[in-house]
Amino acid sequence: MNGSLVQQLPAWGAVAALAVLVLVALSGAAADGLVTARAERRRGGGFAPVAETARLLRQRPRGTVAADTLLRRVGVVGLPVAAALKVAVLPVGAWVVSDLAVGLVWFNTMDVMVWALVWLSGWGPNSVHSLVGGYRFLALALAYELPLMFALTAPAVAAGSLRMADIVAAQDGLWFVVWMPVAFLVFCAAVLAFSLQRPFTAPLSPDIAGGVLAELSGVERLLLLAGRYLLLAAGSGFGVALFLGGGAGPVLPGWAWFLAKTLVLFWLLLTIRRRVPALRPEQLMAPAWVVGLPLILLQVLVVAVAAVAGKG
Amino acid sequence: MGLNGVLARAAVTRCHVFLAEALDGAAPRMAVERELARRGWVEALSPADADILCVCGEVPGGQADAIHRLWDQLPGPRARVSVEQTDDAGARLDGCVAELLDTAGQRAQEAERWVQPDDDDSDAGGMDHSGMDHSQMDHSQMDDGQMDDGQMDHGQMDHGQMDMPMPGGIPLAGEGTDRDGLNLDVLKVPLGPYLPLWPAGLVLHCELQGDVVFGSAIDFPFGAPETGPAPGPDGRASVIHHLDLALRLLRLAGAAASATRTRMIRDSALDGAALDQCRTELQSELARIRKNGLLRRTLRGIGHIPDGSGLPGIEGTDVWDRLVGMFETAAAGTAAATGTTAAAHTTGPRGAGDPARKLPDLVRGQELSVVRLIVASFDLAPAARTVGVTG
Repeated sequence: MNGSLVQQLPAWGAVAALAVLVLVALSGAAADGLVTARAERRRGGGFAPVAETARLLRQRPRGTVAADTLLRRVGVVGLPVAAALKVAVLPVGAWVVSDLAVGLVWFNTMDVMVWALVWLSGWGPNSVHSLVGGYRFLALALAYELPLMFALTAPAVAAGSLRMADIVAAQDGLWFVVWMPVAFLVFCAAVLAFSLQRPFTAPLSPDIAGGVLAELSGVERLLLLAGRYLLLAAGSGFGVALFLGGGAGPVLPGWAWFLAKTLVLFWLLLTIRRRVPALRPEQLMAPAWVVGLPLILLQVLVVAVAAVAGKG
Repeated sequence: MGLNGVLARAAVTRCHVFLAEALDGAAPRMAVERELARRGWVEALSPADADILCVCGEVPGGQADAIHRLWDQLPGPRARVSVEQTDDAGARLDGCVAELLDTAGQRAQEAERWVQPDDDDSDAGGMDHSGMDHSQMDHSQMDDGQMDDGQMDHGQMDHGQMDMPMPGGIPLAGEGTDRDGLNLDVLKVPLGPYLPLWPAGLVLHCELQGDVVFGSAIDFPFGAPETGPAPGPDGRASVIHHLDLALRLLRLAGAAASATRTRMIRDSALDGAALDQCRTELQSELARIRKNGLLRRTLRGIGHIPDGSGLPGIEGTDVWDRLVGMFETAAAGTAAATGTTAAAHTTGPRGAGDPARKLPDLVRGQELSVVRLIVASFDLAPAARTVGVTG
């Protein structure tokens, strides 16, 4: 296959992609504010992310004793950056910022980087609560990362390519979600996990005073909170490209279909995370490795056999 | 200046409030929580997240030091308020809004904050400016020099400060043997007395290895709290108290939706809604919780109290049972007040001996999150009333 499937955008494309990512994430935060307000029988709530942003922009930075300031900043700034770098290889309809030949590996690299970033955010403040939050994320990551990697393998094997555009193109006629449901579900769970949403909120939970967030204030806190939404939005976009046919759809142009599907998946994930309670890391390990891992390996086997048979 | 004004206006529509509950401060705390929910404000989980420090209940002079140190950790713009009566929560919080909007005043306050040496942190090695403090765990009252500064606290060695490197004035962690016999760092971390979702006035001195508590001792440094419903037939107080306990446990367990609904039932009981209606609502909530498999999985089997441990009424229960027990006791409270059934009022955690004394045994070897769930599963107020306890 070649790179002509999608058109690589000039430099402004990166800015546009970032803007769209932020808008999608903002829509989720606003929707979340509305739903929260309704659950508490209040009016409004859609303004919450704006108010929160204003509040945090106004808040003064605050340090802790003997903090590792540099590493803490690397951690909190890194989360939104990782989300932005993910969407750089994501084909939006017929456009992409960078048509990388190993786009899928790039995506995986970014979500492995989240391990380090969350850990550094927890380590940096030199505080017990933050540090415990960091530990917890590593325990969670150990549970979700391997199943996620295999879930990513399935579409790549079926498409015979690591290029995102090829993977989208390979779903012409039949979306991968139809014959890779396990991979899709595992992928969605992992998206919730690497964006620190429930049920994977143990690193930020109230029992450790907010964990990784415990000592963060002002812009640093804003970046970490925004990073969570951005990662969830980016993850939803990849869910669409890998399993839901990307921009495929009748009448409307590809980018519109892509955005519509992404928004639906994004809001669906937000709804799910509202409805489930948080899990402790040690509770996740056994289901993820004893149940999830064999199932996803089976899924990859089925896909691999189908791919070989299809070629032969 | 214009932009600052706009930011400030937007910011105060969603203030984050850190609640420090004094002994006997449950009633004002609930009043403030209700007010926060009405306004769509947020309870801060740590001082770093807070715009407003709200002290609920009266803090006697001798206990103000810990509050002062909490105040030092608010990043600012910040405001501080003390709510002692249940009916003036709204007015007091409005006062805070005015303070937060006063950008010039906040600036002046901030400038002052950075030049003033902090006298109560004098042994922190000069690095500890009042604005740069640590997590609120270590903000307990005790000034015995053992747990005053820095969460990376001394290990078993007592103050070998001469020969130990002290980054930022904080001694490095000591070492100890973990449950598998490995040598690991030991942090001495007090939990409480001002920790969100934590029984007022309780301090649990934990020795942490990683996030596992391998030893602890309990303390009520401010003496015995008098909270909890008065014994007797006051059904409404019992309903409110037990729903309050249940929602704390639910929030710690990460069941936010259930906790929100439970809080609304509690608030309507506070507002004087008919208890019959409360019963219907809380029974349907209990039914929902019983069906919640994930929550059950989280709470089942932890904090199990063996038979013969001298805690009549809660022997053989785990955290899940005690959560259900809280709802049942609350439901019984509604019944007692309306006179449909008179009994069952004394079941559940209340009046069940002295669970506080059992805490160090129950939490040994547990992960921090489990420790929090176990502590929240008890009604410690009545226990504390009778005991002066050091575990």
